[in-house]
Amino acid sequence: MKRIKPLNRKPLSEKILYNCISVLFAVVAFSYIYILVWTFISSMKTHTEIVMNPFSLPEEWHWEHFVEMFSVFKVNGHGFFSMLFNSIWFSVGGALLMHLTSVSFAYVSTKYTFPGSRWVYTIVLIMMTLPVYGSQGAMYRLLRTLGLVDSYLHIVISISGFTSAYLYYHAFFKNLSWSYAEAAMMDGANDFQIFFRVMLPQSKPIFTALFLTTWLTAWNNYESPLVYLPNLPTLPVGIYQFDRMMMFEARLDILFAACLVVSIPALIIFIIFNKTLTTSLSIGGIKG
Amino acid sequence: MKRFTRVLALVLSCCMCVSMLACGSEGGSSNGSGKSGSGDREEIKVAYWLSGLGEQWLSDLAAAFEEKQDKYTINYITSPTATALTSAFGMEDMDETDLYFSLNIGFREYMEPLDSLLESTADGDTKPLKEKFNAKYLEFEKADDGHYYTLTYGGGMINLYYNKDLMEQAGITQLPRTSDELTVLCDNLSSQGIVPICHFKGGGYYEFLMRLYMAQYDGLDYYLNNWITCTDEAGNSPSKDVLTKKDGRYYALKAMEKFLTPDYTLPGSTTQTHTEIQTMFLNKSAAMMINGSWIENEMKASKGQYNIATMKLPVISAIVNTLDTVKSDALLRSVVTAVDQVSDGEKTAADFASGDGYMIDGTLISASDWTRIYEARNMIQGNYAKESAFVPKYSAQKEGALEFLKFMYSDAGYQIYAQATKCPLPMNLSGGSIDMSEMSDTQISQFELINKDISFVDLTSARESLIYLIGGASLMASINYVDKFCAANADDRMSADDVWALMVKTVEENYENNWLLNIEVKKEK
Repeated sequence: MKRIKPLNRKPLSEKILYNCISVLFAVVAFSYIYILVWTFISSMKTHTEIVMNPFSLPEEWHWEHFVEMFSVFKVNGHGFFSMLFNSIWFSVGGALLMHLTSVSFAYVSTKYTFPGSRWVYTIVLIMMTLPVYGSQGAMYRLLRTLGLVDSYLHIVISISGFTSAYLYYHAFFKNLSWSYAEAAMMDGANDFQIFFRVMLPQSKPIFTALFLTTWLTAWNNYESPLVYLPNLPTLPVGIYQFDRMMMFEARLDILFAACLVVSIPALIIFIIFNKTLTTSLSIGGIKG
Repeated sequence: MKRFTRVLALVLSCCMCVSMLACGSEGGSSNGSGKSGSGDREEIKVAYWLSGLGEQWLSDLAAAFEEKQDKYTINYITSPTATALTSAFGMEDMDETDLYFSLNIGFREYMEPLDSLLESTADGDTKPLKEKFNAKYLEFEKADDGHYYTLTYGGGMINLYYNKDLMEQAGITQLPRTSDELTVLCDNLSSQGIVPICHFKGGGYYEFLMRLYMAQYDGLDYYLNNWITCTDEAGNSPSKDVLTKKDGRYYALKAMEKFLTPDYTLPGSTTQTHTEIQTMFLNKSAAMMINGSWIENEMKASKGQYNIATMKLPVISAIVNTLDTVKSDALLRSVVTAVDQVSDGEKTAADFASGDGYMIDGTLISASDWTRIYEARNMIQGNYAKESAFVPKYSAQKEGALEFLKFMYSDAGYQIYAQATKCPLPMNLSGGSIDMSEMSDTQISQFELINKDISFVDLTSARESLIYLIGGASLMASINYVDKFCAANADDRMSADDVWALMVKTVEENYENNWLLNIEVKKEK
């Protein structure tokens, strides 16, 4: 009996290529996982073991480093939980403020006509292409004068519609039919109700995806807080400062324990929202 | 999924609450003692570069100072990044710091002179602070206008640390007295399978050795008045001739290339951080390491049991080029032994005196040679002037900041400092002695060294020329000669002569085109 050949059988060259790519991806994925595992194992060793035998298993598993970390990991009197609060405040709060203003700004500038509304998109584009190098000195001076350095109010600088997120929201609302709003209007909804109850909920996937990417960037950012919030350190600043301190103190074990604990929130969020992130993001942009 | 989201929200809320509670417990105080600047006390804002000394000394001193008087309270912030800490220094309207403990960044036009502080006598002391400090150290702090703007709060003395067990294992009984003898020791250790020496990436602490050798060869007077100020014999400053002159640096390079080889150096020395290499050294991966008084304090958290000791850095063998009657390394070693006996009080110089000179191992050496070798052997390399306390001229609490410094340098303050850091400052008490009951032998040896007739070769000085400070010039034109000597790949390795030629070329290329221009540009700013 003659065997029937599968119709879409891949040629050998293609198979090899796919396998190579898979192996490559697996290696990259493994390297990320390996770093986490290595960090965990290192946090279980003593400082001397980490230096003398960086790739060995611990002679004794020092779980107590995770407890000790909470008392040793301190920057300017701020302990772990204090830095955690600062991180949540500035990353979650900042990202939320930024996206709420961007989404509102994009909605208004695409769906309403007012003097200059046609130019908004161009202005945002121009502002985004302007070089900002060398402006940090002036920015520092300005924020200091406004009392926004070393202050929880520093979060207000996140309120800005002129961001890259605006471009995404602009594209989204431009393609969103106005007939939803018209239907709501017929039901007696006012402008605010239309935005908050009809249009904004429709942007939930793109809003969530953009919010998460912004939050992740803010969560890991240590440069801006280092300059503008020296007395309100966030966790990344804490890790950075602690890493610097390790130049003068032999506690790599605590450093690795702190690194691991700090990476957990981002990992959890990624695991939970990984579907939202990957399904909302597509090649070339963000799906609505 | 909904249930999961609720649980997550609950967990995050709990996290937030705990964090807020944690914030509340700090009470807005940034000092280690937990005291806030409350009540009617005036607050002195201190910025401290968190280095190997740790934070304990400042916390203890602040608490004792607050206890002692009721006018001021100390509130300090720390940073392990000195540049970040001092970024606002000089900006009168931005900088709220009253007292810095950080790397000396120059710009004394913004610093309050400390002359009156030095002339004053602290409560409980019997002599003015100026008399308590080592006179040679103060030379490095004295600016060219004759005033003092900075005083040390840290740093330490640089020595050759060694693992006693490894030395014993190799049967070493005589510690190296000259640079050539150090090379012989390295050869001996290496032949017995012991790694002789280690350093860390970026050149280790060899710049200290280079400066010491330079000062030994050229004399402290040349180092302080010509090299530091970049002044040539005609009195021109800055002068390119000073930077390219074949001085002690060249002979230091020649001495270093003999033992700074991949054969004698611990693998990883050019790539690993100093904490990592120190850990390896303390765990006997190598026999010797150039390091500072701070090493034990820095490594105490690693909780290891170490058996280390310290020796003075050896005298550069090439010094014989500048001597009349000491022409061999063997004789130089004998003279150094005699000098050590005199320094340690075992003998007096008169015991060796013979006619106009000194009789050493049956050879008559001139008095001037004895003096040169005595000076060279008793030069201690330090970095005290690099780690400075300074008060901004525009500080709102100048008086309080100076009061705190006065307390810190008082006998009572120095005791607190010494107990916390186990490192000596270049000063002595006006009466009594430091309590060394909780110190290791190595730490005690450092305090004892301060009491001897020593002179300092500091890493920096208030008289440092602008060509170094802001121009961009440096000891060896930023060439990492240590890596060039120790390069694992033979093709990348360079000899001392090659390094010297490269340094001269770099100076020629940059002196007018960059370094002088940098000074002009920054002066205009």
